[in-house]
Amino acid sequence: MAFRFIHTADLHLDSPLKALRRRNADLADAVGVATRTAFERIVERAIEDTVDALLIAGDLYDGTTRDVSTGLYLADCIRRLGAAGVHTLIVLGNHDAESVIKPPFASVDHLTVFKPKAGTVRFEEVQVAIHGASFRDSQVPDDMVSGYPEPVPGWVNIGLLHTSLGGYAGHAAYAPTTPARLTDKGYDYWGLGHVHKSQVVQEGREDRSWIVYPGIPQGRDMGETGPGRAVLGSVEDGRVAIEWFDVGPVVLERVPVRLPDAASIDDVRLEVRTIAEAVIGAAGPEQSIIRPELEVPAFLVPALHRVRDELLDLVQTNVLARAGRISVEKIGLVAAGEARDSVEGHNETLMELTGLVRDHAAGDADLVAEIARDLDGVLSKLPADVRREPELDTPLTSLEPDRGGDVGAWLETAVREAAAAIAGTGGEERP
Amino acid sequence: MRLDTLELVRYGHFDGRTLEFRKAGPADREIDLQIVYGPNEAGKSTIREAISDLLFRVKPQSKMTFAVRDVLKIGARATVAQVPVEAYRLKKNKEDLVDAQDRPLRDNPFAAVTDGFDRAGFEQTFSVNRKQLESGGELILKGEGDLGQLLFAGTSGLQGLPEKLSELNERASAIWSRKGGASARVLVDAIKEIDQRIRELQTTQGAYDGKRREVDRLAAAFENARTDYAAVDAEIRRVSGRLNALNPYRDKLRVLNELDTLGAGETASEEEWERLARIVNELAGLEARLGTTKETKEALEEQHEATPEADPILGFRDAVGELAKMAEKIREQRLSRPKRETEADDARETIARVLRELDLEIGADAANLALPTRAAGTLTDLLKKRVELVASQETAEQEVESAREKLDEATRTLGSLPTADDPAALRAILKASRERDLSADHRDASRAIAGRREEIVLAMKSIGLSPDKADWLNGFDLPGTDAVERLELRLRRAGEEVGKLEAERTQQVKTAAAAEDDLKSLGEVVVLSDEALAAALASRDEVVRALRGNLSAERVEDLRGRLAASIADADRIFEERIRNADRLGDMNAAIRSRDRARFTGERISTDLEIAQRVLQEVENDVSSFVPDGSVGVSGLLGIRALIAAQAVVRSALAKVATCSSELQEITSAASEWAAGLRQAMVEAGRAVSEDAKLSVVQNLAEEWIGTLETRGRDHALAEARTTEAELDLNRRSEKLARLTSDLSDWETAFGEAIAGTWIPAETPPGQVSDILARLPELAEARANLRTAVHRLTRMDEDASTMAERLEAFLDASGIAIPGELAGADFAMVIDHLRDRLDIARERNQAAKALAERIDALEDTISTLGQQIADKRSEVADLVERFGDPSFSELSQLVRAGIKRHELQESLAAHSHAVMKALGVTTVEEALALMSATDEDGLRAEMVGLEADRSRLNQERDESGRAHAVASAEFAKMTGSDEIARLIQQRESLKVELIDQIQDYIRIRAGERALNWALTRYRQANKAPMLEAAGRFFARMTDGRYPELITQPGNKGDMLVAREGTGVLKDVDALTEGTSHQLFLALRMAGYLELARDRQAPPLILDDILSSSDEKRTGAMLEALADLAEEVQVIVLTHHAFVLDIAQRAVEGRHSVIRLDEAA
Repeated sequence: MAFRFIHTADLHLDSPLKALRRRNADLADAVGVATRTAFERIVERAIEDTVDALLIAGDLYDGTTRDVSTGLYLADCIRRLGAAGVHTLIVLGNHDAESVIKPPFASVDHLTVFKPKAGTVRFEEVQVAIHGASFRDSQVPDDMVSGYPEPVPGWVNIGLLHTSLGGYAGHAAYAPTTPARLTDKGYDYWGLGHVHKSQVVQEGREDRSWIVYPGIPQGRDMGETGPGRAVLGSVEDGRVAIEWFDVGPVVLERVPVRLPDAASIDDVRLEVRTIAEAVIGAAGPEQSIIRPELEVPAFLVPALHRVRDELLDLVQTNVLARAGRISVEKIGLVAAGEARDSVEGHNETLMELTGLVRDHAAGDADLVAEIARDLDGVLSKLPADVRREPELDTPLTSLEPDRGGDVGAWLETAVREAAAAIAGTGGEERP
Repeated sequence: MRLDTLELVRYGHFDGRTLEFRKAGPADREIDLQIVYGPNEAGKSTIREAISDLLFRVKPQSKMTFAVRDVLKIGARATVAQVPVEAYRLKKNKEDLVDAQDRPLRDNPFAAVTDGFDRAGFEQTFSVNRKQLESGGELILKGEGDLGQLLFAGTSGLQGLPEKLSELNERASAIWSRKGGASARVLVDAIKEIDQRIRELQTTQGAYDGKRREVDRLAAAFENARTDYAAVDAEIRRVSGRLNALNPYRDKLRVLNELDTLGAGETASEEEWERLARIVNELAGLEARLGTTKETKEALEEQHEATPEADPILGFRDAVGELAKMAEKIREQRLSRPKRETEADDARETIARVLRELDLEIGADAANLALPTRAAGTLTDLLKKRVELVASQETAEQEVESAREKLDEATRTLGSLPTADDPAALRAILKASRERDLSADHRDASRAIAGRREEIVLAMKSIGLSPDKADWLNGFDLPGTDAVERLELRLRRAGEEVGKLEAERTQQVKTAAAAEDDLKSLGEVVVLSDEALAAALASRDEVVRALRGNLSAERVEDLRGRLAASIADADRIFEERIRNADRLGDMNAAIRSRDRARFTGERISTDLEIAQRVLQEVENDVSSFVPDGSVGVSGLLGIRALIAAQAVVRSALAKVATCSSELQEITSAASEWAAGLRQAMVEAGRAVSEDAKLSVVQNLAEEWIGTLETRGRDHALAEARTTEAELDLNRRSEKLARLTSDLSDWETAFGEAIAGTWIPAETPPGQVSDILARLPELAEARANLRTAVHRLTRMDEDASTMAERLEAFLDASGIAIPGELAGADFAMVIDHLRDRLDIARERNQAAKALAERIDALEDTISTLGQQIADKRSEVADLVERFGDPSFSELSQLVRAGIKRHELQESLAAHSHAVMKALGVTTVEEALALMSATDEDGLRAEMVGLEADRSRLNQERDESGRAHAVASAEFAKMTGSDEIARLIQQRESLKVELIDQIQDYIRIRAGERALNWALTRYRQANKAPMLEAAGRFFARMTDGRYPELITQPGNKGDMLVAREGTGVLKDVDALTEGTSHQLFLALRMAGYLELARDRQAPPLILDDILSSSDEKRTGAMLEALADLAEEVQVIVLTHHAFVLDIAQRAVEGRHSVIRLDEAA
């Protein structure tokens, strides 16, 4: 008898999409519940395909979630799965450990939430054992694999683990381990969570286990591009086979558009159709939010920055004329060539002023303090979480050499933009 | 970079046209001022466009191809960094820079020129047109003589930087609070609104768990209340059953016993009996119904009578309803009380935290921690003002310090200068000494003497005498001219005679020679004779030459001797040879011929001798005139030379004498002047050597006057500077004092402003600023606190009002409440009233229904009575016919049967109820028990039980309601996605807000830093640019404004023009035309400044000279020519008169290219 399961992770339910701006009002409805929709699709597939188990490898929701409705929703879904005979097995990840939300799982049947001490759930009829252990705290610096039970001999053994898998920089504090150690454990399939990019780390064979990250079902920002997916696994004759299916209702993509010959803003405007076509080409069958990243000569960047909204409108209009389900997030700008070349306005006197700022402004404590005060004044009017956003915190940090800020460089960037605005000629022809 | 040619290969309406830019002026001082003239439409603008197209690229939308056969092509031969280049530009997207053969150039030869500029910036910087000139002049006249801006505008070509920076500032401000759009402020408000909505909707884990526990607890309480109520209710039913069972059962038993006494009736025919039975049956039925109805009616009447009086509360239905409604509202308020209290606590905590962070210990009520808008505004303005004042004061202090240093320096400089005497006296003497140019006179006289002496030397030399013999020659007595002429005549004649004789003798010699030819065969005799003859002839010739020349007499004699000897030798040799050569045939003829010749020769020689003697005599006469042998001349020529020399010498000596006398007079005058000047010099403080000549003294005097003048000027300048520095110091000191006073005023104002607030008086401004910055937060918290407190207070007030109204109601209505409710919460009392009203209402309705039923039953009884009477009448007929049995017996029989049956059935039902109520199984037991039952005791127990039941009923209802409310609230806690959607909306707002704030930050910081850099720029470029601009401006104003200087103004250093008289003039007071000139001077200086550091293109001036008058235009051209000594300047004009003016103003310093002429 076959055993079928769905493997997912990193649901981050009710986590908002950072990629959506208000101009995309049509998408707002879909996006507002996109993480739920993605999970909904997993649940429906599990019920339709009458799988035996849904495996969730951690991070059910953001650690900052404070509202229990997310947990109640999750509990309802699991209840539906239970009613359809699907057993849900969960290991808690770092976000779950951090979270104050405790879903009312006590009243839900057909659910196993693994404890921090590893445990096993046995499916006797099909001789499948599923092992798992939850994060106790938001950070687990140790390899958790050694604490997992030994495989049940003669059975198919599946491990559920939330891990950064060692090789992923920046994730060291999340139960790091290695594919070799996972393989040594002797399980047939390792269902991992934590890394948001879906991938098969290691394909299963006779002598080695599958190691799979299903990725985040619904990407939330331009760092999480591509379609959100989940794994549909089946165990037959002691062997595991997998296939993927798409679940994310909204696909985020970045698409590079090279415009190395552009010499003016008008040149870029003339390429709007090209940009729109690149955007459409990058979109999938789902609702898509696309960020075209224009690679243009460095000197054009500040001038383009000033007309970025206008460009965005142009591109969006062009895209909408051809395809309705695509939203352009914003126009990214990538400078090609020397940064020093990107002097706005191309007026040598303005350049001289820019140079003065670059070389000497950092040394004028009064000036720096005055600007810092001004920025502080504005930031203090913002909600605390907005104020702490890196995009806004970075300028302030930049004005503090003690915190590693390069005051001169930052001011130079600001002055270039101001100079471009003053010259009012940025982006005209250039030899 | 210099343009040597501009090649308009195919460009606009130009086709193969080359413009050649030649320099003017001498080779060592070439001037590169190019005036390109073309009437309108001649292509002047095209030239400007062409240069830009060449250096950058041809714009895709360029219209310059409209008249060409082939593709556009523009080129130039130029010099870039001393390297000659030739390049052409095509109108192409790629590889548009080519060489003459259209081969793409790998490197852009103009890169060094265009680097750092885009086209617009380039044109702005390196060219000036009329519009720029006018707006630049306007900028100056508008009083914006801010030096930094003007220097910047001069160099960059960008005007109005302050406005642009101000626009930037406004742009930044608009991001925060623009009207009618999604400003940052609107976004922040929208986010806060969403946050508030989320807070309202959000269910925390604690709230969820608490609510779940509350529901469970209330469910248990409700269940308990229900159980308790059910138990009491059952007990009431039991007791009530007993009470209710007793009397009716006894009555029924009695009736049943009576039935036994009834006998059977008469038998009648079957048919009659059946009829009778039917009638009796019907009658019985009717009577039974009548009885039942009556019983029912009686029972109802009894019940009606037993119905207590209507409760007076019924009269206060509306009032009680109103009270209940209010109570419900207050109950709802009470449910939200914890939430409000939490809000108040949160707000208090926020206020406390902010105060802690502000390091404030305020005793005042936290709710009062707000400032009136006006006070906050005043304080904000004051703090802003203070920042400005402190900054201004610091600046002013620095300025005062700097001004003081300048004054010290100026005073030191003045002190260190030597005293400057007025050189007027010295100048007057010097001038007087120069009124007659003694030097020139002296020089002329000396030169004349020298010239005469030279003449004398030459004259003396011509006669071979040394110059010192001049006096001798002067006094020597020479023949007069006529005597010399006579001598000359004689000499000529004697000479002619000698000449004639010589000619004759030559003839004779020729003859002799011919004879000699004949005698050639005689060999060397002839040769010898010829030699002798030749020697003789040579001697004679020499003699003749001597006679004609200046040969001495001895020499003449010697020659003559040699001539005679030669002739004698010839004769001797000839004769010897003849003797030895008689074989020759014609020897005789030859000899004759020769003899004749000799004879004639001798005669001629004699004549010659005579002539020679005559000549000698004449010569002797001539010689007698020559004094002695020391004179290097002889003969007549010598005499003439002597005469001429003597004339020259005499004239020269006379002149020399005159000149010497003159010279002496000059020397004497010079000595006098020199002495006078020396004296004046000494008086003017300069000692001069006694032996110094006048010219030396004059030079020294002139030099000394120069020195004194320089000293005077230096002194005056130093004094002026000192005065200026003093004034400056005063001005700045006053300004500082003003600022200090302002600061003091500010302190007072600040003290007053702060005094009107809760902020402690001694709070330093910095902290007040922090407080103001946190005011919104405080205000928000305070508003929250006030709202929460207000709500709580309102709740309390509502509750209090409610209690009062209830009391008033109770007093007014006279309705009494149970004793146990005395002092209870009004809610309980109102619940009681409501319940009581409900009960009263129910009772009232029941009594009404009872009365209606009784009326209905009366109607039924009446009807039944009539029916029974009808039946009886019918039966009476039958009984009468049958005679014996009476109807009453029959009726009795039937009625008794019917009643028995009914009673039996009723009794059976009652038996069951009574058995059950009494807990017995037989009638006997029941009867026994009934007789033993204490009915009064049961009634007393019943009263107690009913009180319990009422209380429990209330408890059950209350707990039921509480449970229902809690359950409903718990049910609302679902997996709703409403918050998720709100968070998504918030995220979108946040992304937009971050974008806007990033823009704000960049723009604001950029603007501040640019302003800062501008100040630096001014410092760095002030000196060289001002100097150059001043030079150009002086030239353009024909020296009216020789200098541009700076002086402090409100906005920093201001530009001021100094007039030739020393008066300073603010540049905004210049005339419009002069302001144009000043702007042009600044642009020229800026250009020069740029061109010193980089490869700059030619400065192009487009139609800037047409609006000025001739004088001004000429002056501007002169300044441009000055600039053109260093760089290439191209002036484009379509006014022919500009060419004319140039011809007059800068003739030879410019080149003209006429576009209207063929190439």
